[in-house]
Amino acid sequence: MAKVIGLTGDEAVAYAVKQCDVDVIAAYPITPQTVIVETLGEFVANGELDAEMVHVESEHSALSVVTAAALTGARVFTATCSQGLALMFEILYITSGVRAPVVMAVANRALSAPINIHADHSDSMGARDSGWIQLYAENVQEVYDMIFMAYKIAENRDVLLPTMVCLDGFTLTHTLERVEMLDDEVAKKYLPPKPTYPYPISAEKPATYGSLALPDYYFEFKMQQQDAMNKAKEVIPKAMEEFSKVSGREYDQFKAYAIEDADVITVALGSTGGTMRSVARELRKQGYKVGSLTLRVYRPFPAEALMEALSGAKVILAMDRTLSFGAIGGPLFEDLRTLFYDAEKRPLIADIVYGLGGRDLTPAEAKAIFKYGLEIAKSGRIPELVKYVGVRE
Amino acid sequence: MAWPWWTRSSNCLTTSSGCGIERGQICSSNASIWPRDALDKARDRRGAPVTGYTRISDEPIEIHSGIYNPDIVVVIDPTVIGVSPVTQGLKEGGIVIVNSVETPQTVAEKLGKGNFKVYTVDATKIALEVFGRPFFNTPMLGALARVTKIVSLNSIEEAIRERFKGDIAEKNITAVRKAYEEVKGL
Amino acid sequence: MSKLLGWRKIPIGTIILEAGSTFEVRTGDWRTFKPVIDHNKCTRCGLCYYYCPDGSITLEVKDGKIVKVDIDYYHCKGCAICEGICPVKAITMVEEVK
Repeated sequence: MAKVIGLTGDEAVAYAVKQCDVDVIAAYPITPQTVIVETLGEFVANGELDAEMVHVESEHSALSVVTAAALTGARVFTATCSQGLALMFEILYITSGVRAPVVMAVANRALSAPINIHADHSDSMGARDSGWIQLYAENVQEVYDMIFMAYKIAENRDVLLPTMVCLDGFTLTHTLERVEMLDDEVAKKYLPPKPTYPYPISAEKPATYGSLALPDYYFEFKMQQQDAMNKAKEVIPKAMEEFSKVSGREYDQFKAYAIEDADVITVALGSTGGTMRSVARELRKQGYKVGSLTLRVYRPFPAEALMEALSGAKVILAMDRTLSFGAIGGPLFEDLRTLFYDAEKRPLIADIVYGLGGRDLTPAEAKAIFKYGLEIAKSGRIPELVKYVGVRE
Repeated sequence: MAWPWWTRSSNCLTTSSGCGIERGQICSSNASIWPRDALDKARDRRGAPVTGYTRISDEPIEIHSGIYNPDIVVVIDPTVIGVSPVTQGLKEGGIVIVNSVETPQTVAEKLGKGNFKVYTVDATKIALEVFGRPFFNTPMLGALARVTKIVSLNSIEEAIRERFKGDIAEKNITAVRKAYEEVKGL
Repeated sequence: MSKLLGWRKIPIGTIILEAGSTFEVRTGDWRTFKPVIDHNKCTRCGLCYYYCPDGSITLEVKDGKIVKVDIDYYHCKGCAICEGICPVKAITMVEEVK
């Protein structure tokens, strides 16, 4: 009988990581991820988790430690966000380049300046080109479940790419929600066997890791990473399907509500997806043909699956909780527009930029967003390509 | 089926607070109660005014936004009155439960005009008597249980026993019971 | 000139599975000057070995004592640190004749 408990997002990460039997943890505290590492520290201290906790002096070191540890075949974990993720930026590319199956929780927080500790996707969005798989959780149950799936995906021999599980700062990290936990045995069976990496560093089998590649070979290594990302597009749905079977909770690359006959569909990442779905339900009761989609996998971008899901709509509203300064629109908007550029059935796509620095998106604003979409659907024109919701002029 | 519900009085983000319940831990073997308990305007330090929100429902809660029209407001630290807009958005006929030495009438005057009912309990005194430390959360839970009947005293006690052990658990239960008895304004 | 391999043929993640592969790269042809040890002057103190940034000095050790010091010309890049550090000036940099 599965245990049901109230957990905050941070605690959920820690409990899941404990059940994944990690071997090495190295993390530097940063609000709102601190509780993850504190809780894991408690588990290690009281013997519930047999892991090496390395107390590092910065996030840069944290990722360096776990990357190297992962190459020994150990299961590793780290967590950070915002300035911390920015600080480990150079190592992000290295971790992906050496194909270390590191799993990292990113407690999505706004980047300074100005200093802000609240939910915002600019930190993980800044890392979208780094060769990390990116998963975004909508609620605490998903946070918990995605940690298991992250290890399953990252350690798959066709993938071997580091994976980040993103959870909104405070909105999920410090929000207590009902979580149904996996039994330890079930988790153990689901997870792949160790070693996590196919050529573990060992004194018996010495090898060179992280070598130099001049212009005559660098490009080829990058193609390997791209190939791994493409293979991940197959591996991820399979990992999710298997998880659905063992947990009894349905998982797919996105969670869609009422999209089959919707005129307007919003596509969001993270907790806002829940708010949009809740409001969509209300509007459906009033007869409006709206739908919502919460995208769980952002990298690799599930192009084919999204094309299938969204092409029937008249209007797609991409919801970006980040600003790509100087670009035509936010990252999700640009990805969706590129997706549909050559398509036969091309919905009108507009961008909604919201929630920066933890600015709350209220159900009333969500309703206005759907109404905006319906307006576009009716007129066939987009009055404002990028609409900034919730900001004061 | 019972669903115990209590506040974790350790590792709060703040000792001053505004509206809502700061932290709640809800555990149910039949898993039919969905809580969402969140923190707004959080700070990295103790002592800052903080607003916490709690939604309770029989259905899964999908909204991840703040609460702007609460039914109930619990003020755990009375110094926020006059500093934070405690009753802003409170529904008509709503309830305000305040940790205060003063009477409900005096506090109601401080809170200003509005269609709401005020209850007070001196949680500070109870906390200092029982714990010797200013942990006001659990006594306020007792008051909440008495005024609103959202949760029964039994459920709270069960939850406390599950979350805390030994002496700490008993002290929390004593504090909860005292507040339950001493609520004014009923 | 070996044919360059495509990305499907190379090991993943920049790993080189053959251990000690760097040893096989001849870096000794970068020199202009090469160090020559006068073994009569050499006191076998080993300082050149410790200071050589490239590990291109080899020691022959018997019973815990150094009995001979030699230059590994396959790898030595001719930086002359050994000449500078030798306390008895037993090492001289000599122009490389190719």
